[in-house]
Amino acid sequence: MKKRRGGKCSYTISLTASLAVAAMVWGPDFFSEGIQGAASDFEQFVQRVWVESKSGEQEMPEEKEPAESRIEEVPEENIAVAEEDITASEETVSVREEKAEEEVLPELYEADVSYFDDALFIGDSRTVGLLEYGNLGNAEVVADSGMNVYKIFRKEFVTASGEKKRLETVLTERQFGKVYLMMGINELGYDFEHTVSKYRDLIGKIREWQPEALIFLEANLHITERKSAASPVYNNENINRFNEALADMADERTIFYLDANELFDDERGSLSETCTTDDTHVLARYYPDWSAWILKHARTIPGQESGQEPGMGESEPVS
Amino acid sequence: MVFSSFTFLFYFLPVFLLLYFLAPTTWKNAVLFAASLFFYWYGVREHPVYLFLMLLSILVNGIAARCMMRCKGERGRKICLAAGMLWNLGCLFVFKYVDFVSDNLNLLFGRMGVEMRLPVLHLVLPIGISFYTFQISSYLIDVYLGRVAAEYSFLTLGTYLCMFPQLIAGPIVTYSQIRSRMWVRAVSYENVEEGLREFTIGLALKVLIANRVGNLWTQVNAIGFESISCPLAWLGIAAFTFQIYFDFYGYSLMAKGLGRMMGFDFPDNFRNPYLSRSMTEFWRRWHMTLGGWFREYVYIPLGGNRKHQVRNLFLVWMLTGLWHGAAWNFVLWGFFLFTLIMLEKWGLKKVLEGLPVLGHLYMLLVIPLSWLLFAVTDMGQFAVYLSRLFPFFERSGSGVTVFAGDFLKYGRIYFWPLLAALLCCSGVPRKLYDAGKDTLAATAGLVVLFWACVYCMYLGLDDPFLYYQF
Repeated sequence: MKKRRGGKCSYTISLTASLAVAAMVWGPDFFSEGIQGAASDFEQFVQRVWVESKSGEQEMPEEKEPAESRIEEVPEENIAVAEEDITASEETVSVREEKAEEEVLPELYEADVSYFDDALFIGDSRTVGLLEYGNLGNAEVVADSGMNVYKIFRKEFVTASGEKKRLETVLTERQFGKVYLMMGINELGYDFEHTVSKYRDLIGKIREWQPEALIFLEANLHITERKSAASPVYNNENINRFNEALADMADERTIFYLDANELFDDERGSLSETCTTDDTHVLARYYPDWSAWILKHARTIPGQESGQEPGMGESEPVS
Repeated sequence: MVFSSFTFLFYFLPVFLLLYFLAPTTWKNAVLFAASLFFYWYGVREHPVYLFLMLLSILVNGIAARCMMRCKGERGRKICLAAGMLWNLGCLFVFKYVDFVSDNLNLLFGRMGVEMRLPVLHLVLPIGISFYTFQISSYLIDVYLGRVAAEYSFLTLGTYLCMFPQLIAGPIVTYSQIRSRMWVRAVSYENVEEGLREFTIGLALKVLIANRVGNLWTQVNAIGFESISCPLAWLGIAAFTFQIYFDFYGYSLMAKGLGRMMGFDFPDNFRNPYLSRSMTEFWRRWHMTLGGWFREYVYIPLGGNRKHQVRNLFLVWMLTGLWHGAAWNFVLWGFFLFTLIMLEKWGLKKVLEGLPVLGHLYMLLVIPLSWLLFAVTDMGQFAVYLSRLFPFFERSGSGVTVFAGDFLKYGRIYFWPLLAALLCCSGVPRKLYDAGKDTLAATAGLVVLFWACVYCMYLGLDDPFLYYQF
């Protein structure tokens, strides 16, 4: 019998030692969190099973990270670094307090895919889906699974040309006619007001670098009722709340709100179960329908040729 | 409580181990039983009645066995056996199969023009029922056959049935196998060390390999089968093939390790199944305790090889299929396995064993296909997936919306877990570990593996254990 290096119980001892070290370093936080988590779980369990009704005003617990099955970074880190990136912009996206000057409202029309030649799509895994399975023509797409407004400026994206660029580079090297934004679901675990203000900052930056572009704020798609009911954070109530904040940011002159949920919702305002297998993303075969729907909601400034030359019409700087 | 969760690893297990090792010898079974009841309750806390169902099973079978011992004649013993089995199989039927039967009878009667509305109960499956039903049945049948004397202690019987390492997902342990350890168990450093090592290896297989490649299969499902390219279709089913193996194998190793720490010696469930060269060989290497159960308690009593072999094999394989799930794809899966095994018996096996490569190639095709039938419940979706695997059979050519770069994209993302899976299938890493397990490197490696698993679990890469629907 070979003698074991380190003794008979080498693994037991080294594992216990490493656990002891870990307990001292992370233990207090972990266990207090764990106990808090267990306590709140128990509370919710009791409410669900015995009280038989969800309490209306449930406090949204501030989670450390969103529970999507992707690798996410810790928010403290995000906020600290992201603050350095975004210089405080005095211009915030205003709501409907714009002075009503003499201006022509953009018209809604149905474009063909060449409309996307000067379009930029920014977003998360759904935008990735649009790129891979939809018909976005020659649009530039800057998107990644799990993307959110806290790390949008730090990530390097692979662009259409194959090069890796940051969003700031993409926005400053070229002028786009329209910019489509779709984010929000990955930030549901963070503080709502903070996310909204980060989103406004993003829009401000886009406006700064792309003064002539039309900005389209895409509503976040719903998840299925089943998935929505299972989480206090990732549910359609919170998605709707965020989408409403997005709608407020739109001014319908240069910033528009697009809600594609009408394509995929069931009668109760949740994602229809026929459109998905993972209760979160629509099946790939629906992305062409979605991109076609976006084309049906194209906008242009009247007096221009449809969708070709941005910036020839009136455009007000956002104050 | 999944073994690969923080709740189990850092709350339940340390507390249990402390109590268990501190308890005096005569109390150890009680501690184990109580902990197991808590473990099971935690798993069924949304439907606490299921805990009582399990306790009732112990009671019924315990009483039936005792009655059997007291019966003088064969008839009395048969009645006790029948009563016990009626309860066991009845519970299983009601909680698992009644909806399947109702739905199909309703459909059948509807087709014949008779309006029939048999009730569909929509009961949630009590976790582990398929496993513990088979386990307690093995006890009752063994008592009937005289292989083992009835256990008069409810505590001991309960501990045997409920012990948490193998309650939810096996291995299915017969009472005869474990009886000697029920009261006499060595508490030794060696047992703890070996058990902990086995547990860590199982944990690593599950968290670092199975959960990771499982994400690829989930991804393929999320895209929708009509929108995957042919290479991705193969990659996807390979991912599932790896996931189901390492999930279950990892879990079985964890169970074995936990048992070992307490002094139990659970049987192995897997023996490098993907190295098999025929389906017959595969099922002697895959989920061995289930195969053993069917052989001991169904195949051999029915006559085995000697009488009506084809009929016996047919029954065994249909039942194996059904055991895995109450749906037609499982029945078809069982039938597919039966067909292959019969073909092999009638000469195919000799051909395969003649040339080793042939056997491996044959299994390379047949294993993923059989798992596809297992994984996809909807027959329409199954047909779609087949058409993606073999696109030249399809009339219209390509899929509905296919992203041309999907194979490269997912191949790149999942390259390392897939490679690790492939390597571990060969059994070589385990052989290397066994050869070198007394070295410092092996010990350090295990510690690193453990913390890698913890890290992955922290990031939330948790997947429900596939066999949990049992």
